Amino acid sequence: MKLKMLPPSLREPQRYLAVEIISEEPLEKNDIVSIIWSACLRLYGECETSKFKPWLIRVWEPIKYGENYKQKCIIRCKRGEEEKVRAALTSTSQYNNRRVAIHTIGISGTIRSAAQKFIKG
Amino acid sequence: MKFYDLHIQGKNFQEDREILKEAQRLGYSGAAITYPDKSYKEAKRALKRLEEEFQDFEIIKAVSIISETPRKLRRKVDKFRKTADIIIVKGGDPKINRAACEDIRVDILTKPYQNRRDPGINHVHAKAAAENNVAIELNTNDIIRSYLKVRTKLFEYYRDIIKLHRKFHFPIVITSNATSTYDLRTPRDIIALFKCINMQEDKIIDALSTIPRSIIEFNKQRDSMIIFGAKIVNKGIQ
Repeated sequence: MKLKMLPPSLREPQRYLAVEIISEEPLEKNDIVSIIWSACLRLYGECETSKFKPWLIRVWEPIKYGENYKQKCIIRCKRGEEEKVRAALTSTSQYNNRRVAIHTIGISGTIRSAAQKFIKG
Repeated sequence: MKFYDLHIQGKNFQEDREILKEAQRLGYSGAAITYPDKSYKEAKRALKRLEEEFQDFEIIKAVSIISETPRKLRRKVDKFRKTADIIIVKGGDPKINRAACEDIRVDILTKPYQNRRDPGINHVHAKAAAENNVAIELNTNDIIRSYLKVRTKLFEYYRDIIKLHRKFHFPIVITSNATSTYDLRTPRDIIALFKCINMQEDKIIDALSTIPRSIIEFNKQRDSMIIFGAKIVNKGIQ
């Protein structure tokens, strides 16, 4: 049986990172999830990563960007840890021996505002 | 706020243009294209074309000097000081590190820790660098491209350099040392990355914007300077 959802006062505050991924080949959702986890674990280790609670919310379709592909997505993390997640994403350079670059476009308090402000706007 | 990247490795006109366009998109207001001393003469034409093409983006001509002995280093600095805007010296050897720190004509010392088991800089180098206004470079490309033991060592060296910087106040610049568009990161991402080695935010912003700006401004006035601190104000008035 699924647990009942916590009341709003007990839920942990969250932040949403609007992220842009530039890669040599278009990436699947699973690939992006493993990039996020390996980046966090590499830079901060298991103990610190357990505080981040990273979660991939939504991925947009890849767009051709010169010879590469550009993909935008929204990542959720715990409030107060967003700078650390940002640093971990910055430190990524490769995935499956292919070059990858991740830029954080912006940080927002809700999914809707992150999408409107940084992805569609 | 204006951010600058003072070390992007140049290859040819086409690739340099792509990297600079990406840097402009990511929020930089200027960048230095660096060519090694051996190929700097041939690269002059490409640099001129780039300067003509980018109107609202500042392009700085930089030369990176690699030399085996301090004597050769001084000769090369003499040769390039008037043609290049910024002189970057590649460190590693302790004698080269010291010679670069003691030379007022050098702007940036890069990778003093290369092929070494220490940061390559001690209190003597730090004092000399502060006196002669030589900036020590912290490199994001090295962090991004390395992992595990190598990255840990790099963080250790960077922490040591920052510790010396707090005591002796020599300038520090953060650069990308990019060879392709994949090595560039936005200024805010770099700030987040350097926060993880306990560098204060205002110091990181200084290393990305204020100090690079002051290096560029200082080099524009270098020709009219007789000695450090005294310059000819109006050349035309007798």
